[in-house]
Amino acid sequence: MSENLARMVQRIDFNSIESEEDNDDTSETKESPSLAAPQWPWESARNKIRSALTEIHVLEDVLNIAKEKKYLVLDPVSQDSVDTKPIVSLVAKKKAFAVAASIIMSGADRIKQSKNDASRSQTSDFHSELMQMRQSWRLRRAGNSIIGDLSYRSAGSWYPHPGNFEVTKNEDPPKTQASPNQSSNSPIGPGPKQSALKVKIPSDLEGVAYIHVCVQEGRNELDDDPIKPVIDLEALSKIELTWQQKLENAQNVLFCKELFAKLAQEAVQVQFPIPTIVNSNVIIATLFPGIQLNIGLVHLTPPKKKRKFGKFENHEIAEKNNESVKFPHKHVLEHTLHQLLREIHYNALHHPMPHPTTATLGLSRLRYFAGPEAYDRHVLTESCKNETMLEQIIAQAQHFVLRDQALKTIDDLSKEIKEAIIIVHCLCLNSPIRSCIKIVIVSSGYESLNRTPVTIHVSSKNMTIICREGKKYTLHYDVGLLRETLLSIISHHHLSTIQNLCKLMGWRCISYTSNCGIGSIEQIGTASSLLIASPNDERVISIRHGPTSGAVVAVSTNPRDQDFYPSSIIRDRKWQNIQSNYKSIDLTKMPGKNLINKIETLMSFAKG
Amino acid sequence: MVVIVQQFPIPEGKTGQQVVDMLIKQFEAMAFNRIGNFVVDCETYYSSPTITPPRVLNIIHNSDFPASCFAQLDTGTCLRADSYFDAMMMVLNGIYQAKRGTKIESKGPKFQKGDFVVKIGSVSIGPSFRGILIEIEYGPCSVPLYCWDLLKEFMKSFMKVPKEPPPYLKAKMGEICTPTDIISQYNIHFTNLRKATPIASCPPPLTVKGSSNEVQNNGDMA
Repeated sequence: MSENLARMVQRIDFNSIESEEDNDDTSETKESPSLAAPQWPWESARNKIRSALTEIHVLEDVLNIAKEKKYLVLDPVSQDSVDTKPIVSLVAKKKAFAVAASIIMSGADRIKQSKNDASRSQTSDFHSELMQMRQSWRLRRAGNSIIGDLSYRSAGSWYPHPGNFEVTKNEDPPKTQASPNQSSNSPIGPGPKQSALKVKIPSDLEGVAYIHVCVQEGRNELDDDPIKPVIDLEALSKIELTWQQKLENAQNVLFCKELFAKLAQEAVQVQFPIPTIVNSNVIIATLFPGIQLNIGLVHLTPPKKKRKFGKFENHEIAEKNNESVKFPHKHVLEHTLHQLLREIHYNALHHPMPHPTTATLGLSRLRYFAGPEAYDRHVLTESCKNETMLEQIIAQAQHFVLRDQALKTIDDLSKEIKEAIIIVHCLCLNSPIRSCIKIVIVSSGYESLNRTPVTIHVSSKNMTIICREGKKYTLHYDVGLLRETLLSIISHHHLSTIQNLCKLMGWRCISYTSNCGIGSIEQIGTASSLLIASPNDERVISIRHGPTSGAVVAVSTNPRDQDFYPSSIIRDRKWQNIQSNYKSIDLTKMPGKNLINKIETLMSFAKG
Repeated sequence: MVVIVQQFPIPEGKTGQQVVDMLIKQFEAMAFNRIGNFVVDCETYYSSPTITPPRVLNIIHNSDFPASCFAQLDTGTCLRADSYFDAMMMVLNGIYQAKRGTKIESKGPKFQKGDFVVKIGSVSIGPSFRGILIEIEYGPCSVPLYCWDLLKEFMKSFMKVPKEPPPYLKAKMGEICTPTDIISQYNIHFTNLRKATPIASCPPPLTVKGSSNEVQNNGDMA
């Protein structure tokens, strides 16, 4: 029976009961029968009952805790309600949307309101305008103020002026009427708005400035003011500027000041053959004897008080302005000065290209190669020579004056000379200190017969005349000499045209002398002479042409007379073949529009 | 330009300084203009024993080429470099080492007349006088062949001239004369003079001192 019981006990499957328990318990129960089974048949049953008892105790404790509600409260878990009503959710969503829309609408209303307010007060936003300013000017914050930089230091300038300006908020009440002078290109926009920014510029940079460059001919007294400002001060004071224009003006003033300071420094330092004079705001440099270059700094401030040389009053200036301007402002030279200073700025920042890491920066390109190429002392000194700004501008002004004078001389000459036509052509390819004038001299009606081309090179201090046959005359700045040289070239042109005419007409050229020694002495140059004979050698025409004296023409016949009457002295006809004396011809009484034409007429008569 | 460097022989019984003074007087009498002073100096560096075969490197400066420094090996290879090359020789101290007391220099006055420039240099190693080198420069021509006769005739006026040009120049008669050729000629003469014993001792008179100071000043200015 006990065996039966043991078998029955073995059949009881406690695992099915314990399956709901956690994994640890099952592993214990699995191990325990395998260990206990050989010792005692009830071992496993007892163990399982004990563990069941423990669990019953725990269950009881849990039930007690749940029941007493002292320690723990159990709530039923609500199940999802399956039957949700769609209309309810729709209404809820609608409400939520309505709330959000009202928030956005109120925000938009507020922005609109503020914008309307701004436009009504005609004041733009301080910050947006400041941002615009930052796009074109350097600004930085120092404490509570905003300081801007006007100077060209970032572009390579070494001028010591700080060039600062201050930006503040415009606290002035807005004007009811917009200023009519406000220009349309202001960065704020086309609308006549009052700017929210106010710029404060250093007092020495206020107003308008420019560099006045003029060439003065004829020596005046030194204290005579050669520079007349061409700015209308009254108009200037009326103009109301935007901050952009104000800053640009101030920067221009700074630039002009730097330019003038540099020129004045050079004028004092550089030794010129004729020393330059720096007289308050004017630099006077002598270009040629009697011609001087005045470079002046004109700085006008718009308020009632004016500060040009500090000695003139407004009305005096106005009177001076009314006078005809004797020495007009040369815009080209002023522009050149600006360019020269900008080039200096550029070179201060940009060094010539090879930048070896081991070499010193700022050396010239030639200096880098001086060592390996073994340049000698002479080359090195040449490379160190640096033309100053003042020297360059003087050279350009000299060229400018010389070219003008040369052209004027040629113009006068072509008006004066009736015998020949002078065709002048200025080459467009030129440099600031070098230009070329081409002249062609022809005789009217005989253009294809002979053309005498002349080239004149005008540099800063001298002129070179190059003729067709390679003759080269170097003239200095004296334009009188140019006139004389051209006159003698024209004189030669006449005779060479007559020579060509001879060939055409079948005449013979017996002799040609470019500098004949007989006859009256020419004031300039030398006269040349030409002797031509008719085809049958019966007539000989002699022409003498001088640059100033003009043409003298004489004719001789051979034989002397057509008929021969033998006399006691001349018995034979052959003696008649000796040339007779020359008979002078009065050219003024001959028909013909110019010398060549008259000679042609003469030749045709003589031939017959 | 064509440059020829010649050694001026010192006659018996005369000191070097006497000869130099005589030459200066002679050129002044020939209406040459004195146009300052010049100095050519040469320092010799020997290679370290690790380099085979051993080399001799001459570092030469010429006051007429103030931005340059010439380095010539005994093989004849010549390097033209920037004047900073001296500093580099310091770095190469382990490979090329300067021997003390080998610095040889030629210095003296420069004369010019027309296209000719004549430099009278007294050569010395430290205090010991070694000889006189005359440098003759002819400006308008650059190939020695074309002006050798002219140079010969010019040199005849103050010194004895060999019939043939010196060997270095003879090899390069048809080529354009460069600064390297000037330096090479000096280097050859320096090497010869270094071997020669001091022929005529020259007590350093005051005039030489003065001129050397001037030269140094010139070099500083350059």
